[in-house]
Amino acid sequence: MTDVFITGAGSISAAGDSVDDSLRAIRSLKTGISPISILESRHTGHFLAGEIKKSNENLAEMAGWDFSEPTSRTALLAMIAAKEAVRNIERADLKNPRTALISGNSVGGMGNTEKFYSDFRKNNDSGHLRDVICHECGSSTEQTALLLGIDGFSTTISTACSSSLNAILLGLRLIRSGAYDRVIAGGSDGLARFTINGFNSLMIYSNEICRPFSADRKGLNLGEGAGFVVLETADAAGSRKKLARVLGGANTCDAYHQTASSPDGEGAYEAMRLAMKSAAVNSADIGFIKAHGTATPNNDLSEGKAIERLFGNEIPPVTSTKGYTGHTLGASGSIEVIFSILAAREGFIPQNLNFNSKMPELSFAPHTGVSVPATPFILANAFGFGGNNTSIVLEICT
Amino acid sequence: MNIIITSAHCIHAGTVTQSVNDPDTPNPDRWKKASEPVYKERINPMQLRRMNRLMKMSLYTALDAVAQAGLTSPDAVIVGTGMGCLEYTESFLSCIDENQEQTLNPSYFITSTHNTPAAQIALYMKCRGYNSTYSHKAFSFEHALIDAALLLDEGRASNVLVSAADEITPGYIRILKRLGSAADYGEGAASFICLPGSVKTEKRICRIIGAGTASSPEKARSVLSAIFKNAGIHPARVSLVLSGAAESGGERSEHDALLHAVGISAPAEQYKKICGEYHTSSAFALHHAAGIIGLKNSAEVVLICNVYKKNNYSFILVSKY
Repeated sequence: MTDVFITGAGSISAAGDSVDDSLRAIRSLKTGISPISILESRHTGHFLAGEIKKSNENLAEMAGWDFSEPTSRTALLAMIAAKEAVRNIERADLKNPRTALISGNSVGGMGNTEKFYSDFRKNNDSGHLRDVICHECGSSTEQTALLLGIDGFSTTISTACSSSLNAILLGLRLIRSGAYDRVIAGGSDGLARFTINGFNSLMIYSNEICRPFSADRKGLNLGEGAGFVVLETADAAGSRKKLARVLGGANTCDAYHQTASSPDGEGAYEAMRLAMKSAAVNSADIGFIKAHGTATPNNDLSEGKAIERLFGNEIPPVTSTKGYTGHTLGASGSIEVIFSILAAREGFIPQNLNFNSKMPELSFAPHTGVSVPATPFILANAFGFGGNNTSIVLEICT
Repeated sequence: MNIIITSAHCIHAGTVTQSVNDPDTPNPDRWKKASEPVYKERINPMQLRRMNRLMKMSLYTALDAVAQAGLTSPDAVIVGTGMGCLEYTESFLSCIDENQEQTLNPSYFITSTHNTPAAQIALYMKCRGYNSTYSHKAFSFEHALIDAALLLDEGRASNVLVSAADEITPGYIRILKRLGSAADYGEGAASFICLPGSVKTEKRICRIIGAGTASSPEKARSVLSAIFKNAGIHPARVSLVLSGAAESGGERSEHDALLHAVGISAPAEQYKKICGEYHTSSAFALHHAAGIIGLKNSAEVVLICNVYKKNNYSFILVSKY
């Protein structure tokens, strides 16, 4: 099978505006989660979130996007991260029809739509149309393609919180099929009142900082951001440095409940098992697991049980990076894969922040302290509403 | 691409039994509401109560397609939806405002995500295999088909359920009117059971031998030429075009010029006269094409050519054999 490498990465989240900033935050255990101050909501000032402290206008400037063109926060974040990811690629190579763009997001331009809808609801002739025309999930991908100059295949995946990991998985499959030599893959999601209130209504939005895999965890904090990687064949990569190799992956459905994971984590178990099978690695090969680890009581228990079932008594270090960024929804899969690669290349496993005590239901505690990954193989998970579970296996390149 | 379609079901505004040359009676409303079936004939009434319209439409078509194919559950579920669960998205947005972001009922939220139809289909049929949702405007259904073909090629599934679902709401229509759209909007859901092209089956209703999308007319020409080249057939073999282009104007002439340039001279039928304009209308067109192909002495090669917002072209090439 064709080898597929990651040769570029870009990310923006509350942990940092770039991959270098993100790496500094992970290394110094610095969280980006703080009281909401940019988003206008009843919860501003007291709800905790991984919010990027920049207005949309500031983000447009960072992206090099003309702010007079209607656009969403989700799109602006995507543009910034994708632009960073492709910084070493010639414009002509991006324009080449054998280059594709695959992006994932969960709520598209909801941050603008909800402003529009407040006025529209009262009077169908009011509300600024520029706030609603970027509502579709595909809109941010189209605008990112335009900014990057990609005019080959581009598409948008929306599988809730596993969207961007599915984008990477599709990129891997499309390159292996021979259809493309290079795929820019990832995802983005901007913070919105819609999602904050949605998760709050489900009683899983923590009023304290999130504590993944800790017995006293109270739920998640939302975040926002984008992460994109460049996937390429060795030929397409040329002299570009190979950061990691994507060995395989799997997508499964829990088929248990619309929002909750099954108690035994069947879908998660199958996603991890099949990802390792497709990557031809054994459980003993895995250097660490980058868990989905949202810090909701349900996810961490279900995911933890699935990990126990799959790895038995030999559980590799397990870490969730949600403590740095909050849960960035559709962007989480790709952002966290990037964090894992950055840290592993520097010889450390990202520490799971805010851990207090081991969950009594599980035999293991998440990774804290300083340690070097025992192997170059990383198993990365992203799970979403609707039971959309995806896992991929990466190998760090030396 | 080489996929066998073995069963199909479609919910839409018109009726597919009309002959190709008999145009639909014009609808005075600009909203072509889907004619919905009696859902409880197929869906458990207890579960039905918790579903929004998009979930009901998509699940109903999926259950019918799966049953026709003689399956109880497919190996994989892939859905295309341009707008997702609009009704519940609007409902939750209203709740947020009305209750000023306090003490909200989560039920609208949890079924507002774009992957809800795919998730509900999998949940209902206990399908734990591959599950994905494409939401890329008017290309959503085509991209779901492309993923299905890839999955079948990889041998990761022996059959794939590919569905499309889009609903309209009064609010959405109002916004489209304010944006100056002149189209007759429609809605609907469709489901298809896809098998690898190499399978021998009596149940084949048609074969998809190519699909592609392009975001400019220039690009569209090369994508369409490549589809014929890869399928190994000459464009002159196309005996009917199911066209999503407007009837006249710049979009129409560009569309005609494109088909002419590639070497297609077959007559074109405006399929949106039946189903209306919506992001996944090409799924209706595929269902329609399968119906036409099934008739005696009918077209053997049908090209579905959708045009969205002038510059976005998508193609599905369908064959009888």
